Amino acid sequence: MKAKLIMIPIILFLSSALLTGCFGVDREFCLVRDSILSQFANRLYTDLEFSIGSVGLSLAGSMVSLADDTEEVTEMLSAISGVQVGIYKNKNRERTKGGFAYLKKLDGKLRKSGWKNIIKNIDSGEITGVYIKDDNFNPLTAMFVINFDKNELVLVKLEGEIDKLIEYSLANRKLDVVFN
Amino acid sequence: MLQLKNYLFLIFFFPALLLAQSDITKHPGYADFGDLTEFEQGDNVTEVFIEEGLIKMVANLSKSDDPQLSNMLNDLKLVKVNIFKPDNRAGKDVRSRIEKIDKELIAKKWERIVKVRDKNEVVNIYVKTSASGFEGLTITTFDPKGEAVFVNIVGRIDLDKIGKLTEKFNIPSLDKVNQK
Repeated sequence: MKAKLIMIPIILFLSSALLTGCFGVDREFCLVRDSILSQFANRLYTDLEFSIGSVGLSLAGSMVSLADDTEEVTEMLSAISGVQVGIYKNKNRERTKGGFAYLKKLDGKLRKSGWKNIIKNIDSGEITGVYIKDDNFNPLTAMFVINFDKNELVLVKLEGEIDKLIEYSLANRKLDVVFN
Repeated sequence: MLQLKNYLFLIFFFPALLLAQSDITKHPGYADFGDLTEFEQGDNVTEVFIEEGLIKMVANLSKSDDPQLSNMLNDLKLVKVNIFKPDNRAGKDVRSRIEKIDKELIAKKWERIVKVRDKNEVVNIYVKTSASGFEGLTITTFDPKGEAVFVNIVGRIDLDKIGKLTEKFNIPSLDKVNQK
């Protein structure tokens, strides 16, 4: 009886987490991940993969709002409906050679899945690519960020009102984050 | 029968026409820099490719704060920037590429409004004009001690207001347009 009482809230929590998109990454994320990992010929292994849905983000927003000077962060969190993250460690820890070549090969594959690259950057051996969902007739609803160096590959997929996120960036930091 | 042929012609012709118009590389203000991958091998490399959909979104976001900037952005179709720091060996090839781009743009009736050759520094600024005004702006710069910058802005450009793009987005070398 006691075990049942303990299990019920655990099951409820897991159900709500799973239903809101927590823990597992979606098929689209997997397609992008596999396209990248295939270029690294098994030099990378999965360290962590998870997703946070609207419930988790609301909780995060509530906790952040308790701190001072976090209005900007709270507003940005409210614009996001889902985050998926993947971290993959580099077995050999060798510096990624070829620079943009990796991202450029990826451009073609991702374009077929409807993703368009807007920014590529290499800085001190760290390579970053930002992709948006190519759908000119709707507001911006999805963004993919790819970042890798000799230690690891990090993939982040954001879903929500991405145009609002960009609005906050423009209002507060300007796009010189790209060029500086 | 003739009417049916005309209808079939329209059905097949118009989509092709629309597709041709949506290809930004066919726009008179577009400048082809070629494949710069061979120069993008070192650190501190940035590539930005922002098309009309995203620019219009930024224009809408800027409407209330800066209507002048918003109007300017609404006339743009593409902002393309390549920044990299070539090593000494690649420096000669970069200069050759700049010369090649120079010849191609002049052949396509671009007007070179600035040409600077000063202690190994190279600065070229071109505009593409039509009956309705400016259709494109291209800047190529190279400083062997610093970096190479290639900028192409496609669309109706007001050179007097170009400073607003510099102020908002810090696009490198764009300030040279007003200086010259």
